Amino acid sequence: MLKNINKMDALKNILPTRLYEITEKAGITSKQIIFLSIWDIKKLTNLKNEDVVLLKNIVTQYFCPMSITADKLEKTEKKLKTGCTAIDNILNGGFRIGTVTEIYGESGVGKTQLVMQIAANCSGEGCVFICTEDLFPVKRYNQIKQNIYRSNAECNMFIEHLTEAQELISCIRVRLPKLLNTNKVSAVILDSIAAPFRCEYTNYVQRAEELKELGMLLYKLAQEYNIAVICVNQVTSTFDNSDNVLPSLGLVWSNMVCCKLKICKTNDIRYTKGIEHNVTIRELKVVHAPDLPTASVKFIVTANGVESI
Amino acid sequence: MNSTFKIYNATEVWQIETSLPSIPSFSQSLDKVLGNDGVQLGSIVELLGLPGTGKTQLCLQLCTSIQIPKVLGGLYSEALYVDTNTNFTISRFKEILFSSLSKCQQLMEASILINEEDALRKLHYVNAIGLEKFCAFMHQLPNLINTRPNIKLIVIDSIAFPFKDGITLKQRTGLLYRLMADLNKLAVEKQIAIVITNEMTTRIGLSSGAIVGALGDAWSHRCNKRLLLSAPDPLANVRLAVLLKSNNSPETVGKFQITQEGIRDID
Repeated sequence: MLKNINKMDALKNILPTRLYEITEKAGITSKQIIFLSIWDIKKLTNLKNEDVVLLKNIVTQYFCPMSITADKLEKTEKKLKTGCTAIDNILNGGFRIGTVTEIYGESGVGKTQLVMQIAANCSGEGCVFICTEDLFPVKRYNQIKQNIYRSNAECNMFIEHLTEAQELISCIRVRLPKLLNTNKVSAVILDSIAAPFRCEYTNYVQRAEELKELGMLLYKLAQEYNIAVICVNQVTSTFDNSDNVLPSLGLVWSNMVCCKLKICKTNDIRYTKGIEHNVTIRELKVVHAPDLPTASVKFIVTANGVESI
Repeated sequence: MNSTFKIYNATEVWQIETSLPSIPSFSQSLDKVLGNDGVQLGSIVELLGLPGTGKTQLCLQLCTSIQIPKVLGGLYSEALYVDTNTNFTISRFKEILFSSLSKCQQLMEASILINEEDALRKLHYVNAIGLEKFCAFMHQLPNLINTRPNIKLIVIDSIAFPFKDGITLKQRTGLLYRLMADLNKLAVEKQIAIVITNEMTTRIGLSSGAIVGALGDAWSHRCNKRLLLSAPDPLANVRLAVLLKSNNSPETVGKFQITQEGIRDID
């Protein structure tokens, strides 16, 4: 049940008429009743102390989430399968639904390949794919999709191309909820989150504010519509004397992400008979996640998508 | 306004202080840093750290440790986990819970059997993702505690996360401090331990930057103890806990590791 926090109708049903009339006259939303102090509300409505306390009590009780004991929680978290069993195994089932996962790595390691595989595997449910770098690779997507056996309905792919940060935020804030209200979607993939935020910003404080807004919107959508949000990120160098790389966009974005995965190219090459060129082996590593040990798995990119070795 | 003031003499205060038990963290090194052999009831502890340093793991471990049976010197009480950033997973909690409980079971032999369902029932979980839900829940928290008097630990993971959500700085300050005033009161009156996780942010100075705890300077005064967790060497499984603020701890740096079973000492 969705409790729309800004609709005054909700207030109408829960407050006694006298209080409702006063709050409507003062133009206070339920959000403000929850956030403002008793003194602030008194100033705006001229109500007595006891009335403000009662008002706050009723509204917070209505919007208060229920606490449940752990035995009543779902036995395991819901996960989105990637289509590659070894990767699903190190992720304890797949990508977590209801949260934001980040995949980062240097250019050309296979991040887009992996998320396309995930998109192609959304069996029967939809997938939203937002491209901010290159155009969506339709041919490659169809190539991967061909090799997946699905007896039931087609997977709906919703594709969007954006380049600016403001476009991205308004897409996530306005258009995406409308789409999610009418279509069942199981994953929202952002490839990549870094591109709109990396070129034109000189004001890092503003960039931080926008990243926070975007992050919170993604979490709210993930929770409300039960989707797995997957963001692809680029890398930046560390300033110690090593070849280590960090995910870009800084600490602000890093704090927002629940689970981080890193892909890198290894120096090993796979020799396959019958194929002219040799294939580089890549490695997917769990950098940190609250429920996963740091494990890694090696894979290669083939015509069928991503295959573990 | 209705308030009663009682004046205690130092002996009474000392008796109260030494009688309040603590929640162990299963790592002796970490317990020494926390002082009082763990997180003492009635105190508010803040955990700081970069992402991936183990704050959520420590919270989950404490939610387990509070269930240790009285026979082994534990509190045998319940915990409340306020989830604001989706870091809580039932599968990881079960992992830590069942391995810690089986350790307890071994020590108690067959004298008292620990039931898994009962153990799960001792954790109260609330999904308070989003600032409105979080604030509404915190406002109703005293009522919840009154109906569940066995809750002796409240974990808020994390306190910084809800405040990213489109609120002005002035509103944030007011809201945060009112929240903490209520939590302080709850901790002292009901003798409940409160553990809060916070994030790190960059403070931009005139010529340099520093990585500090989020939510501002004045916030750092709100908690009794502040602990900074870090993973200095990502290849070795050694974690450090550095004490930034405390009123009574003998040690300032502790070492621990995070295993499949939870928080443990480094052998």
